[in-house]
Amino acid sequence: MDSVRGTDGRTAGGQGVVAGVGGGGRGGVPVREVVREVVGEVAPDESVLVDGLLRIDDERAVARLRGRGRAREPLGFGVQEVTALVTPVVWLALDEAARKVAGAAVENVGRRSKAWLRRVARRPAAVRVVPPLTAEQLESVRQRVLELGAESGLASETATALAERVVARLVLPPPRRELAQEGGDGGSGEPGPEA
Amino acid sequence: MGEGGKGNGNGSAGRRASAGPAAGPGVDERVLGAGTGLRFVLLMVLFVTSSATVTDKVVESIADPRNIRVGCALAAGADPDSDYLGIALTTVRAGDAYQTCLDRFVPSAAGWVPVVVLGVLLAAAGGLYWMLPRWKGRRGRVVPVEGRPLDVPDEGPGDGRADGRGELRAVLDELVEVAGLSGRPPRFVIAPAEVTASAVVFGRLRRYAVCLHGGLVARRRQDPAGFRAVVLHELAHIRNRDVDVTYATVALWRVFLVAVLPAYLVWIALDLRSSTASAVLGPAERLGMAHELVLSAAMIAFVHLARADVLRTRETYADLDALAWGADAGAWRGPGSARASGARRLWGAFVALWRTHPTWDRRVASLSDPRELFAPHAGTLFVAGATSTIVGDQMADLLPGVRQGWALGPLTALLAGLIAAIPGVALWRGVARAVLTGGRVPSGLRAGWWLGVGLVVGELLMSTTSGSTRWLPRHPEAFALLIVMSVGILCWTAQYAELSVRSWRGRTLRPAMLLGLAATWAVFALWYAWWQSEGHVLTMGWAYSGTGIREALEHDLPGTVPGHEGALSAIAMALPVLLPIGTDPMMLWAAALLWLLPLLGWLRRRSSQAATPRWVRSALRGASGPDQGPAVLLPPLRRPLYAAGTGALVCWAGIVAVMASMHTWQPPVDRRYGTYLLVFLASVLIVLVCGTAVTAALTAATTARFPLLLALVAAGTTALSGLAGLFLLGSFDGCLGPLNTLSSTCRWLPGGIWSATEILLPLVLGLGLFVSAAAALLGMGARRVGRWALRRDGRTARGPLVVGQKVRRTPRRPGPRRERVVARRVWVGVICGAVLALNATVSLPRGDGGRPARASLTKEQLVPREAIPAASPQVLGLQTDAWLRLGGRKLTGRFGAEVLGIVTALQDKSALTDRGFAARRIRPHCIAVERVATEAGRYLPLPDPGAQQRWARLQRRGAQAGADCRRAIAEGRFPVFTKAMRDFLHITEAATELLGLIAAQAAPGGPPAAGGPAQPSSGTPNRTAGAAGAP
Repeated sequence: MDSVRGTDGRTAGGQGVVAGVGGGGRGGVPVREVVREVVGEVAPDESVLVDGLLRIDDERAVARLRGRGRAREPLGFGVQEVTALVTPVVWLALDEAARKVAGAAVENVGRRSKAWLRRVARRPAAVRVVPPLTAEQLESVRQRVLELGAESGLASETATALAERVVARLVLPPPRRELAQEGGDGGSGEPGPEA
Repeated sequence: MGEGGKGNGNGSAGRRASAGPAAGPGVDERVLGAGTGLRFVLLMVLFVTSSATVTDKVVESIADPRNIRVGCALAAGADPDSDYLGIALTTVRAGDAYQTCLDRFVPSAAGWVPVVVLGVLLAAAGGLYWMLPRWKGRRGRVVPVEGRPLDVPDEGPGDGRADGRGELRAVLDELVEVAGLSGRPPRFVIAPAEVTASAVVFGRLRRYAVCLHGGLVARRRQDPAGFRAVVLHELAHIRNRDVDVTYATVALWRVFLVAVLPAYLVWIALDLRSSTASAVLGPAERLGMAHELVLSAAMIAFVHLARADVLRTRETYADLDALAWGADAGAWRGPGSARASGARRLWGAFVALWRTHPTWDRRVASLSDPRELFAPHAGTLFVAGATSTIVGDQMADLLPGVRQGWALGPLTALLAGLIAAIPGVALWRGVARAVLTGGRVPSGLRAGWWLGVGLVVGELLMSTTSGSTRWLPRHPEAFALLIVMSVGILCWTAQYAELSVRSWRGRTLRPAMLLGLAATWAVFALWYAWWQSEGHVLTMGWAYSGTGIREALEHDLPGTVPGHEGALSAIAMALPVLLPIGTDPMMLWAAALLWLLPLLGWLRRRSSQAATPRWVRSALRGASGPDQGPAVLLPPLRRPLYAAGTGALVCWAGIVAVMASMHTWQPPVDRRYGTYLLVFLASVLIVLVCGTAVTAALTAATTARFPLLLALVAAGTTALSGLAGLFLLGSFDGCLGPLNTLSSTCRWLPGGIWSATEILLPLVLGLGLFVSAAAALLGMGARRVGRWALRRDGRTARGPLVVGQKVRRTPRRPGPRRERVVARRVWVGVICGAVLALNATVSLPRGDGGRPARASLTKEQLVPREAIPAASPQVLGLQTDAWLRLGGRKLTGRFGAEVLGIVTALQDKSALTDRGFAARRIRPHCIAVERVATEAGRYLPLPDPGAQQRWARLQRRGAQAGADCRRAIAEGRFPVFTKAMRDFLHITEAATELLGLIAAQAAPGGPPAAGGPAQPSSGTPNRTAGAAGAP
C-alpha cells in the first residue's frame, strides 16, 4: 500500500476511499487531516506520533488510541507515568463527532466483527470525514475536547486552547500555504490508509 | 544470561565513580558475576521437567487406561490405606516378581512417545520465541524510527517546528554509541498510541528492537534527561543480554500454560471422576489429586515469584549501567508514595514480590547504594529451594528403575550443583562486598535457613514423603536434617568465602569463588543424593527391621557373646543407615575438602603491609577500601590445634577405657572376630566420633572468627590423632595386660588392627566430621546465645553501649615471625599428606578378599513387618482380586489342573501296577507340578499372609511330591511313588480348600471391585479406572 501513501499523508489512491462514515464529499474534512494540523501547531513534539498513526487506517488508529494497554512488560523501564498527550484527545473527539453525525455512534457487534474481518483481509477502512457541523455540533465537539483533555490530564489552559483550535479548524478553511501546496495534487485531501 | 555484560563492567566503572552519587566505597556490582544466570537456568529446568512429567503421566494413562500398574502394586500387597513407606516396602518385598508383573501386564507407550511430545512442546516454545518479536513489532502497532522522516520534508530549517525523526535518530545513535552497541545497533520503533513515558526492549538472538512509547517521544524535549535515562536503561538490557533469556522464559511459560497445564487439569479431572467408582480407593485417590492440585498452584506461584525476582535484579543492573553511561540520576523518580499504614505496607511488600520491577524507592536507593544486589534474599533462596526439590523429585519419577537409573546420579549431582550454587554465589558476592566495604560479613545462617525451608516445603508439596492417606508425613521432624544440611553447608561457604576473599591476591576473585563453590557443590551433592535416595524415607518412618538384621548378624557372625544383645540390637539399628554412607569413599573426600581446603589458607605468609591485591583495586574501581581491607590477619592456628590435642587425649583415654572394658569379657581367641570385634569397633567408633564432635563444638563456641572452619580443623586433627592412637594401641594388643582385647600374645601386629582401622576410617574421618560440623553449629549457636545474654545484661547494667563489638574488631598483632610460618607449613603439610594418603588407601579398589562373606539377610527379613499394616477386608479383597487376575489365577489353575491330572490318572487300574503307564500318564503331570511350583515361588506372594503360608506349603509339597514321583518312576522305586501319590491326594484336598479361601477373600461380601491406586513410584494414587484387568 506504500504506493497509495503520498507525502503529507494526502493521497488519492484507487481505493474509493471517499465518503467515510460521515458521508463527506459535501465539503467535509478528514479527521486525520485535522488531527495532523492541530497537533502540529499545538504540540509539535507529538508530530512523530501522528506520523506513525497516519500509517494505519482510522479504525485501527482509534482502536489503538482508545485501548491504552498498561501491561507491565518485562524489560520495560517500568514507568507507569502517563504523559498528557494532545493527539488522542483530538483524534477521539473528532472521531466521535464524525460518527455521531453519521448516526453510527453506537458500536454494535456486527460492525466490530466486520472491522475485524476487514483487518484480517488486510483491507483498509474508509477514511473518516467530519462533515460541516452546525453551531451546536461544534459546541459539543468543543465540550468533548475539554472533557477528554481533563480526563487525560491536560492543563485546563492547554485543553481550552486545543478546543478552540479544533473548532477553528473545523470552521475555517486550511491555512493558505498548505492550500497552495495542495493545489498541485488536486485531490480531495484524503489520506490513503495503509493496508 | 546474567553473567552477560561482563565486558562493560570495568569500562563503565570509572564513569560511574564520577557520575554516580557517592556513598561510601562503591563495589563493582559484577565483582563475582551477576548472580542471576543460575536462577534462570533453574527456571528453565523446572519448565522442562514439569512438562516432561505431565507428558509422561498423560501418555502413561492413555497407554494403560485400565491402570494395571496399580493392579500390580495391589497384587504385590500394597495397601492404599497405608502411607508411602508401606506401599514402597511391599513392592520392595515383592522384589523381582513385582517388576515381572509390570513388564508382563502393563502396556506402556513406546519410549519415544513422551520424548517426541516433549520435543514438540519445546519446538513450540522455540517457535513462539521466534514469533514474539514479530508480533510485538508488527506494523500497525509500532512504526520504525528509521527511514526518511515522514513529516513535511520540505520545511526549511528556519521553521520552528521539529523535524521529528531526523533529530530523534541522531539522539538515539549517540545513545547507542554510549552504550557500546554500535557494532550491532538495535532497531528503534515507536508505539505511538502508548501514552506512558516508558520504553521496552524485545527481540530474539542478537536482533533486538527498542520500542519507545509515544508518551516518551512526546516529552523528549521537555525532559531530555529522562529520555536519555529510559533509552540507556533499555540499551543496558540489550548489552546485559537480558532479552533472550527473558523471552525464552516467556515462550516456555506460555506453552506450558496453553498446552501442558490444560492437559494436566483434564487428566486430574478424569481421575477425580474415576475416583468415584471405588469406595475403597476413592478417598485416597482424591487426596492424592488434591495434593497434585496444590502442587500445581504452588509451582505456578513459584515460577512467577522466581521470574519476577530475577527480572527485578536485572532491572537494577540496567539502572546502574544507564547511570554509569551518563544518565541523570534525577530521571529515576517514581510516583511519590504517601506514608502507608502497617497493613498497607505489608500488602505493598507482598504485591512487590510479584512485580518485575523493584519499587521506585528501592530503585532510587539502589542507584547510590546497590547493596540489594549483594544480599541473598530470603524469598530468592526459599523459592530456589522449593523449585529445585520439585525438579529433583520430578526427575527421580521420570527416570526410575535400572534402565534409566544411570542418568539419575549425574543429573541429581547437577541439580545439587544448581541448588548449592544459587545461594553460594549470592553468599560469595555478599562476603566480597562486606570485606571490601568493611561491612558485616554474612554468616550463611540465614541463607541456609531459608534454603532449607524451601527444600522442606518442596518436599511437602511433592507428596512422596506423605503418601496417599496423609497431608503431612508421619515424621516431619526428619526434615530437620535437610535444614541442618543447608545451614551447615552455607555457613561453611560463607566462612570459607571470607577466608578466601581475605587471602586471595589474584587478578580476579573468580577462581577463588569457583574453587570454593566446587567444594560446596561436592559436599552438597553428596548429601543431597543421600537425601533423595534414602534420607527422605526417614520422614515416613524406619524402613529397616532391626530384629531381622540382628537375627542375620547373630546367624552370620561367629561367637555370639551372651549378655550383649542390647549392644547388638543398637548396632543392628544403626547399620543400615551407617553402612551405605559410611563406606562411601566420596564421604571421605568431601569431608577432607571441608577442613583441608580452609587449612591451606594458613600456608601463606601474610603481613598487613602487603600491597592491595589487584582484584580489590579493580573491584573498588580505584577507590580506597576500608581501613582493615581484605588483608586482615587470619586468627592463629594454635588454638584449634591445642583443642585437637586435648581432643586426641580424650579419644585415646576413651579407647583405653573401651579396651579395658572389653578385656573383662574377652572370649576365647577363636570367638573374638565375630560379635566381640563388632562391639569393639562400635565402641571405638562412638568414642572417636564423640571426641571429635565435642572438640568441634567447644572450638566453635570459643572462637570468634571462622568458628566452623576452625572447629572442623580441630575435629579433623582430633579424628586423625584418635585413629593413630587406635592403630598404635591395637598394634601392641597382647602386650597391654589388662587392656588386651583381640590378641593375647605379645607381638607387634600392625596388620590385624589395620583392617579394623580401615573399616573405621571412612566413618570417623568422613561421617564423623559431618557430625562434628553439626556439633560445631550447635557450638556457634551457643556462643550467639551467650553473647546475646551478656549483651542484654551489659545493657541493663550500663545502658545501651555495646562493648563486645569493639573488642572483637581490634587489629591483631603484626605479622607472624618467619619460623612460625615454617612450623605452620610443616604442620599443615603433614596433616594434609596424612589425610590424602589415608583417603587414597581406603578409596583404592580392593579384591573380593577384603569383602565380607555373603550375608544371610533376605529382603523379607530386612523389611520391618510393623511398617506394613494388615489390610482391611475390602482392601484385601481388591489385592487378592488383583493377584488372581494378574497371573495368580493362571498359576493356581495350572497347579490344580496338574494335580487333578495325576489324581485322575490314579483312578486307572494300571496306575499303580504298570510302570509304562505311570511314565506315560503320570510323569508329565509330576514334572509340570514341579515347574508350576517353582514358577509360583518366583511369583508375587498372596496378599493375605495366612493364605500365603498355606500356598507356600502347597508349593513346597507339590515340588517335593513332583520330584519324588519323577525320580521314583525313572528309578522304579515303588514305595517312593506311592508316597508321592498319597501326597498328591492330600495336596488336592488342601488346594481345593485354599482356592475356596482365596475366592472368598477376593469377594468380601460382593462381586470384586475393580481399580486401585497406590502407585509405587510416586506414592500418589493414580487413576482408579478398572485396574487389574488381566488378559
